[in-house]
Amino acid sequence: MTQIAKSFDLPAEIVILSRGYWSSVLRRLLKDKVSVACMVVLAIIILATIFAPLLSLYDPAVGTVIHRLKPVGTEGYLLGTDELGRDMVTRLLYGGRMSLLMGILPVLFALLIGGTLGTIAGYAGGRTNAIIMRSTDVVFAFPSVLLAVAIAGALGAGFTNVLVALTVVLIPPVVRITESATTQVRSLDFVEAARASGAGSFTIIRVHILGNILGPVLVYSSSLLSVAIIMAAGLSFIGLGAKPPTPEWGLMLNTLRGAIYSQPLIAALPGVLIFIVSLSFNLLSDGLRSAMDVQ
Amino acid sequence: MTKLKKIDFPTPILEAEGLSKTFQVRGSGFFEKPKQVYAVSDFSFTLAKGSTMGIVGESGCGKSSTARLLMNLIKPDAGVIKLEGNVVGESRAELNAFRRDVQMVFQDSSASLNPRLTIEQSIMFGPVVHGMEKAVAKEAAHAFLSKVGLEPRRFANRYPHEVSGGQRQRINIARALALNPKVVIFDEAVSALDKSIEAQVLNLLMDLKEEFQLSYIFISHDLNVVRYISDHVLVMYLGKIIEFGRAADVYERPSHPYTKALLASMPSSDPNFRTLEPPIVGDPPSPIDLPPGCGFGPRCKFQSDICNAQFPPRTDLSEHHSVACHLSDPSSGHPQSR
Repeated sequence: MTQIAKSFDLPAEIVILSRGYWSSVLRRLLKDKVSVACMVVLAIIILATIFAPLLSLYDPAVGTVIHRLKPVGTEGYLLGTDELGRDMVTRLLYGGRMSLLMGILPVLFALLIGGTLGTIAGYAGGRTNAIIMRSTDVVFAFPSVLLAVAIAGALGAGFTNVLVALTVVLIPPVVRITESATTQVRSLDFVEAARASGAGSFTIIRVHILGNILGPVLVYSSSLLSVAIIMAAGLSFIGLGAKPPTPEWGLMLNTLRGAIYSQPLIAALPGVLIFIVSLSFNLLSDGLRSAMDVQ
Repeated sequence: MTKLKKIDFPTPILEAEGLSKTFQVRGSGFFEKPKQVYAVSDFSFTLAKGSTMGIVGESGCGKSSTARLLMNLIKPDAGVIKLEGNVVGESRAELNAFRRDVQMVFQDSSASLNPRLTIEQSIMFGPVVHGMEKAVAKEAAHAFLSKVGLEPRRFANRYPHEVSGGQRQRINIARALALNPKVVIFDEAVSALDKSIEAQVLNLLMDLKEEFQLSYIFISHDLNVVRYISDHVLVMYLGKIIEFGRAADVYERPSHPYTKALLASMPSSDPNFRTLEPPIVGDPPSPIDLPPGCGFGPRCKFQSDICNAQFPPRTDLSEHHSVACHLSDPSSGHPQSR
């Protein structure tokens, strides 16, 4: 022990603490102006849809026929009314609930199911890996939009069926990303060292694998959010998602098609919201990626 | 085959008998049969309590496979490992007990620490897995950090990428010691460090060995380091033991042509002792589908027919020195044997 040079003595009360990985990612993310702007926009939209009953006085499903297709800025109807005389602000807020849920929930489910499968495949390797990966390849072989339409079509329209269809479509890419990340981490010496210290597979995955694959998997899943929201709106647009009179952005785009010449601005509003939300998720995902890039 | 006779040691702590491992590699074509890679064959040795066994050999000779076999991280195709005289079984409980007692330090100091865990968490992990309470394990982790010369207050809560390579390797040593092992295997553990740090770590290892009554297996390609730290040296070539003996015997009186060549290629800092013997030429034959006979044959200037026909049996030169070479076996039929 004597040979080891003692560095300068630290005052007794000082303990050096390091910033953890996730808190430094958050700090870098908050330094990025675009990401912060996206977070603010998304937070406003999400909060507004959650508190929709407090923000609007109208019933989203009931309109007054004499007030049909009022232009934007009409007294009492800030964003006008739709083809059945329903307040657009109310419709957009309540519709956002549906659209966001149909976009976000499938990604969460896919993350849960696909992430589990991918981790198992990557950690177990060999035959287990082959079975899981080849089965996902089968699903992967179909174009995702077509597959979603086919599943939703077969199950029939409705909120739950859209969730099922989108989850099935989103699972394979999540499995792939998780599997490749796990395989990479698994081959590192610290996993070997953990095995050498007598830890079981479950403990090793929980302590040593998850923390190291979470980054890439989260970044990828967040980029799936924008895709899922667009696909959910698309399914509703072609009549396989929400059923009228339930407000939903994709469905609203469809029903307002007729008004595109008389009130183009109103007809475009749901599309604009879909665009803003999807873009924000996409940019936020990019920001997250670069915030995680640095060790 | 070579049945190696055991040498009597004071108290054996870790023994291996006839360990063999072949890996399968897929052939290049789709329909080609898988090929066999002979990583380790018929590996037997005894590690005496409190001693250090050095294992040397060139890259790809099976040193790391041997370490992983001894750690029970990969299952041997044949052979047994004994810890303090008891055969290590395959049951979960037996393996867990074994893994408390035998620990390993890897070459790549940064890859062997989880980048998302603090240093303290990395050291605590093993003991907590074995049922130690977190608070106790934390105390212990701090104690081990001080033992390896790292001030806990300064290092415990930092992440591996924030400290230097030498410090990281000390953390790995602390992590291995945290389970109170009896045997520690060092797989090229100091090879990646620069010379001054390497010396510090080697001295640290000597001190720790005494303090915790450890036995070491020290795998390295650095002959100087192995000589410095080892009591016994074992020379490997293509997965087989070709020479074994006390460090002094092997270094002073190398008997196998490969050992001689290996020692001759050792760089000397004295200009009057330059490497005069020609270094070994060529590469070892591929360990895939190994032919019978001595693997060193094609590179050996004493090669004869018998060398191609069969692998030489072990010959005892003295009580503590043995070699597997036809040259040293008078009954082998090698024209130059004595």
